[in-house]
Amino acid sequence: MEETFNTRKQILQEHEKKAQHKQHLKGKLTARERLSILFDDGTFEEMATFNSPYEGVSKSSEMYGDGVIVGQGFVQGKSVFAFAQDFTVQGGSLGKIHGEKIAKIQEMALKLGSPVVGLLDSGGARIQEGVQSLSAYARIFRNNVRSSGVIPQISVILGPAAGGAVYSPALTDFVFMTNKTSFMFLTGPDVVKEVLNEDVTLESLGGGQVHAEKSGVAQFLYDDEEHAILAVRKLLSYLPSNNYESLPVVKNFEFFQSKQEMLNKLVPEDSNQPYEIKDIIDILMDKDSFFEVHENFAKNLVVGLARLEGKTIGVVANQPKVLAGTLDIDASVKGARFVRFCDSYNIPLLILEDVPGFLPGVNQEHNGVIRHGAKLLYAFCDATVPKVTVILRKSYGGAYIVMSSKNTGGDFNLAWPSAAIAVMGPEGAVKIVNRRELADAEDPVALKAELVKKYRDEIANPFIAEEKGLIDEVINPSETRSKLVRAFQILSTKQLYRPSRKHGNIPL
Amino acid sequence: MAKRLLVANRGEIAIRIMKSAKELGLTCVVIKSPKEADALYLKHADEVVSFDDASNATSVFLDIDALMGICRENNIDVLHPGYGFLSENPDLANACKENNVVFAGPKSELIRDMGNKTIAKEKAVEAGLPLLAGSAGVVHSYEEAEDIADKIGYPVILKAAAGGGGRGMRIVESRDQIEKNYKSAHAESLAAFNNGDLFVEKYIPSPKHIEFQILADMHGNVIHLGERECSLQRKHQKLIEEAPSPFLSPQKREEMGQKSVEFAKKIGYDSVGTIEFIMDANANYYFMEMNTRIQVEHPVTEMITGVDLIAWQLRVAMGEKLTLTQDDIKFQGWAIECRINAEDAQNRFSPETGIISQIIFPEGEDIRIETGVENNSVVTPYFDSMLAKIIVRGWDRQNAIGRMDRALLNFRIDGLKTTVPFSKLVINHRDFTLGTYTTKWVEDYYTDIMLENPVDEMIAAHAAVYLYHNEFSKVASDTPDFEEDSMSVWVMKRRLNS
Amino acid sequence: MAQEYVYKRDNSRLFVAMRDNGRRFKVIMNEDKIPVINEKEEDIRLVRTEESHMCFEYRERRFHCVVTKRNKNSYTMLINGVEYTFSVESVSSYLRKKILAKDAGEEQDLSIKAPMPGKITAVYVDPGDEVNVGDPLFALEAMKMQNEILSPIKGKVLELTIKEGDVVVKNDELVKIGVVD
Repeated sequence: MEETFNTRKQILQEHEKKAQHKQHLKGKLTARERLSILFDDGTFEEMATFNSPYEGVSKSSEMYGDGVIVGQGFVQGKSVFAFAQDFTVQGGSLGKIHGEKIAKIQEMALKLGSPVVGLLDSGGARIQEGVQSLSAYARIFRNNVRSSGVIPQISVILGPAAGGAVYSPALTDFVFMTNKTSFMFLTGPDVVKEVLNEDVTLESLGGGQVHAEKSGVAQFLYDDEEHAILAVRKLLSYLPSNNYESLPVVKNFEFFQSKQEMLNKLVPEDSNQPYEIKDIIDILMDKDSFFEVHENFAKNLVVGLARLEGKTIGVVANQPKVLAGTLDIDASVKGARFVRFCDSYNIPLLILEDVPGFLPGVNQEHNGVIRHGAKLLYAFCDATVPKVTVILRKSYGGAYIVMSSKNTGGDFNLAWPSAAIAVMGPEGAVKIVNRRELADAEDPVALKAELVKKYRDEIANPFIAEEKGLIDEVINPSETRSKLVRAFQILSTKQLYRPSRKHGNIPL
Repeated sequence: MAKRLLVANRGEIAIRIMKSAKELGLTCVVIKSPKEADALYLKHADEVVSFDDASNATSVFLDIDALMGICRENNIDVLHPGYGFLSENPDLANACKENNVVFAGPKSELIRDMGNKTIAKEKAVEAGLPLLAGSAGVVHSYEEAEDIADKIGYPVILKAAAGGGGRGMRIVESRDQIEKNYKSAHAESLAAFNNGDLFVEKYIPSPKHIEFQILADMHGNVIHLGERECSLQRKHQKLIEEAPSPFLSPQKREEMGQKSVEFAKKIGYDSVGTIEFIMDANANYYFMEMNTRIQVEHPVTEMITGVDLIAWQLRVAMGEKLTLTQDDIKFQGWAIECRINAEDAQNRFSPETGIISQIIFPEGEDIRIETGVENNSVVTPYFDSMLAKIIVRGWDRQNAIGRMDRALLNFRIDGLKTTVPFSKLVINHRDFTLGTYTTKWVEDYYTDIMLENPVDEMIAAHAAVYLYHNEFSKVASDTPDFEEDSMSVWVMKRRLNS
Repeated sequence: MAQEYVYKRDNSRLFVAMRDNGRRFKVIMNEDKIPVINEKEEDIRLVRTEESHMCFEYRERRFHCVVTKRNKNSYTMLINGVEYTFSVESVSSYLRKKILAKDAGEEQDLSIKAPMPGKITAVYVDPGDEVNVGDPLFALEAMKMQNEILSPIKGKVLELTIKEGDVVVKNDELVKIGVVD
């Protein structure tokens, strides 16, 4: 007995030594090193270490475990399941046993209500195992879907993820990637060259930057895997372990007390003047608590997790600095997915609104901005978590409705005095409504200026919306934080009836 | 009844004007624009008139009709235009005249003549001021420019006839560059001044910028208050000025001062004004232009002469006779001014906007602060980026430099970046302490790495690690700093049933 | 099972603060002790910290330090009016970064960003044009000044996202230049 244990230990040690040598040269860590960053010291328990590979593949000692390490450990005391693919074993390729090991811990995590973190570094399906390996993927995907909205699932891409392998991350809640060392694509550069005769590099086809900025596949991009895995720990600190569990509350928090006054001046009066919405989020939320999701994708909408008096909330905010804060296809999809995530795990939503409308254009219309915009609308309407909207400045037309307006079910809709809520901006509205007068006027410029002012004062004014009951209160910007604290506090007991149904039909 | 003054300007100069005006017993009226609704200058005024120019393309300070309307409605007797905006626009001076408002500046014709470089140069020649070789007047094509340039020799400079502030200006090193530069300068000056006229002149590669302060009245009295050196410039924007100039001998000062006075007399000048010269390495000087307004850098002259230039500008405009004679003007000590601009010297001086969360000015003997901002002021992109000026005087140049160094060290601003580190760098640089700097210093020698300081860098590195370490400790540590919130039975029940 | 690798979580570990220009500071943070920076004990003490502002004392001088930007492990500190940006690395991430930087080499496409907000008044290049260092790419009018933006590298214009008359915001990506061999 003793001997067997010792031999096994030795095998692992020898393998790790070789693996470190190979991976470190490539600027990467080994699977075991990665797990040790993810989990609290000494808490990771590996499972099925010595499962042997499926028959037909050479059974060398290094194939023990079939190229993946799976198990459970604690992240800041919370139980978390994880799998880490080992690129040094057959290129981390996914065979039958490899896949089953992952599936097993997924199933266990679902049973126990614990998050799953996948550390991916794999060349894809193991060709030698044929359909067996594909069916293993299928089981993983099905588990991903079954767990969706029940336990948080996080994928960290730390090497290649090609072909079928990309779908597991795509089904999980969050995808982390690293710059220069991770790649995701369905068909690689060779196939692209063969079929389309186009030259592309790994990096420009499916590198971290591409997925974080253009495709939106990755929510987080880090320069180094150590930072990325530490960020997973950070992300987990905002989340409950499952959809039935309460949110974690940080005991010690600070906020920018002295900057609250600055809110009165941060939004420029000139509605065409851009400003940085993240400055406002930083001031409103607990100090340094804003953890942005999808930082580089669809920057015209900012989403992320933050804390208010220690409690997690999800923030969705228009970014006037980019595309004037308009909503477009990417922003709608990004926002919708984030809202759905928050709603799944009972994370209350704060919406900061300064939106002139949807981005106009043939390109947008032809690519289905209607369909995609509807996703965001659906997500907000369907979310039963507490929803508080603050209108900072512009709030026009369809975009006003979409951004959790009062009658889509917003619990509290507040507005700053600089808010303007209307069907469209004053210039556009005056051109349509007063077309005749303007055409006949002796001095159309002066008349237009006068009409615009009138429109601002009499229609777009937030106090009018307040009188009509569509804004609960017009508040002083500097008192926003205290209003939000109170609003979320009383909303914590919110419950909502939803009609009985199998599930809604979100316009996917 | 006290006369009423409209200050048709904003920022620090509006406050500066009001300071002198109040001492003269004038009631000060300023204009509030929604673009800057709680600016500091508004708080210094006796009366504030609101004008909504939010949706107008032009600012109220550039709108003659609006200004005249304000004058009529508020019974204004005197208008001070400050600098920039319409301060050198003859139409404003004319409009004031028609509306019986005293314009704190010279006669409209003088503004017009001095604003036209061709006429100004003709007048300068008549008064015996030396000029750089160049086109006698406006050139009408790049071919013409080429001919002149060939005659006077390269390098040459193309300049907008109506220009200032570096717009529409191009330096041309060789014949083949003329066409391209002529076209772009023409387009630029057309866009900026609605006048595409250019002229050509000999270009001095590393000149000094020396200017003489003139004070004159309507009764033919003219004196000069010495020179200022404003060679520390970036793209023709002055950044640091001093008086006197370390480059000028007493004889040269005497000669240039006298010639400046003669010129002013000859054209019948009747207000404060500045005659600008450039000077080559051999101290040959050439007339450039005359500015018919108060200059940003006027305080350095005030510091060493004790003369309140703005008070005199208002007094002579109202017809008073100059009681100072040339012999009354004595220069005491050395004065330096650093402009504090909201610009990022580490990023090509790009303008910075935002909120000044805290600003602390240095205090002390012979330190003068002119500011347009205070704590919580908003710096908008609508106006120029100068926030304030620090002016010091010392008993000699070295003493003044030391004072400025300490003053800059004790200046603090939070919320945006300013040119203060740049100023610190310059006044401690050998070229400045030796007084050999020229208008090309920034272009030729300055790189943003010079702003860095190894000790600051180390402290910053330590601070970055300190912050990361704090965050790292939270994220990496095994012990959570959070507890689980408890969910009410009320919520839980609903959840389980749905 | 066997733990061959133990990730260091203790508080006295070594960090490397790196700047883009390659300058680096090896900092050991010791609890209750003064930090060791580049193998030398430096008597830097944190006097006070309030919100985003920190005050350090070093050799009897006070240094006010404000965090102007923080993103992931990158921190921009403003000290005496000058900004310094550091990415803070562990020893192992620092080494990996060096390996990856070497692999990537210098052949990188370059995006020219708007240095300041303004209006594009002229575009001098077309996609496909070859440019040399110092060639003007476009003119940007800001604060009523025409600024010619020059190419910092020799290469080929890959992408052009602007045309005359466009209004751009600071840091908008305007032109992409690819390196030619």
